[in-house]
Amino acid sequence: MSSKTAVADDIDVIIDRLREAVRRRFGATADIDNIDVATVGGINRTVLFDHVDGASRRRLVLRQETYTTEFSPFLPPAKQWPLLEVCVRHGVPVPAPIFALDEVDQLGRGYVVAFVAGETLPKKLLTDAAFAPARALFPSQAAEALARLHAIAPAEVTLLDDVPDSIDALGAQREAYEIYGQPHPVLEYAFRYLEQSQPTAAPKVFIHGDFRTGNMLVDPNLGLTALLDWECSRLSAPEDELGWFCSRCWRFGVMDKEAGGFCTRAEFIAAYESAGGRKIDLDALRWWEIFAHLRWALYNIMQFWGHMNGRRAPAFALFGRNTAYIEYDLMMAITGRYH
Amino acid sequence: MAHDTPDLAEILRSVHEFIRGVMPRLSGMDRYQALCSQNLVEIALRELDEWRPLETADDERLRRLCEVGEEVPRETLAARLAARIAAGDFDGRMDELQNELLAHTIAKVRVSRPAHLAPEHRHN
Repeated sequence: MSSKTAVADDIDVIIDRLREAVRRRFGATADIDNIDVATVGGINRTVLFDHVDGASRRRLVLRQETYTTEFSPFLPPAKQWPLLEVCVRHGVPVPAPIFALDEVDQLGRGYVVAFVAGETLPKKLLTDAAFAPARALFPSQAAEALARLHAIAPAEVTLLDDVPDSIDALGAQREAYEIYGQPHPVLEYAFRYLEQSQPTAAPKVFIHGDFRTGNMLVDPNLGLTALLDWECSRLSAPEDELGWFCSRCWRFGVMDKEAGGFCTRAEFIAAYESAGGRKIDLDALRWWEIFAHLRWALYNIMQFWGHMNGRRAPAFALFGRNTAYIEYDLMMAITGRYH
Repeated sequence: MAHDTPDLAEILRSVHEFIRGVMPRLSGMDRYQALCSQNLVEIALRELDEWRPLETADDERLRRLCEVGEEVPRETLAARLAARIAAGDFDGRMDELQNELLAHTIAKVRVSRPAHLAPEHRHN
């Protein structure tokens, strides 16, 4: 049913090929060392390394897709790459793109970016005393980064035009749901509810698409240093971006600070608007927050679907049972018990 | 017929204890996957201990909403209800369905992640 490719996971092979990839671009005297395999996430492997050449040394990061299926809702690395370049041009904080992998590299799909210092772990960002200065800075920095991003003309990112989520966000979720073939009454209810209460269409903007606590680098003293994980980028409403960030899915236990556990929803909207972001429609924002639960439930079902289609691990099995608590939050939000 | 000992709960507890024992020696992805494994075994233990009465009540709820009797196998009930909602059978009375679906999720979360529930939904 699925055609899938798994990239070689022998780390010694990956390092040898990465060294060759660096030499092909920067010359035979280039080398790599100080290698650290940071994480193997759901769909990516992150390898940190130094690019050394004589006395010069710089820290880089290989981001390599580890799992590809024909039904992936994620942007392929070849589409993420140009987005990073657009962001750099417009002063949106992202890791600077260095080079994209090609077939000769034999490293699958991915790219290399500059290393940016910072922490991603939500618990640390939201509760560690060392990050108190960053927490104070974060709301205005994040709001400004989003306002800048959303101000970029969609004509600069036409590669997002044919992304299913850009064309019809709800329809794209429906398509994914049908593929996974697991009927859920609560998700059908959410589809129906959202279809019947769609906000008025407004011009779409370039959004990150997965802007949430955990997908950004934060320095304890400097605050936000980079937005990561661009594989969900699309054209949509600003309320889609803010709704995902403010939904209950991403507060990591700090429930009274709706904006990712950092500040209240109202504070974040005010910061976004004063940074030049479009005026936020509160009814649309609520609609997108409900939509966020549906999207997150479907991501979890997708991860379990991957588990049943060759990429097996306890974590992916667990995703299948996570769906229930997301459905619970979704019903609590629809019935007005959760905000 | 009863099997020999250990029973299912004891089998799961043995696996759980083993994972807990090796946990301090694990790091990185192995530790993460071990924590997920522990979590999965805990779900299985709760399912064994607590699911039967919740399942009976949930089946009864889904049968009522689907307007079907015992002749329909329980495994097909969620899919039937999903299809009815998609077909618009509940349009015009969506509000009525809300609390039924909330109860349906509460039953599932009692097994999969009870600590996630709001205090008023943690116990009958």
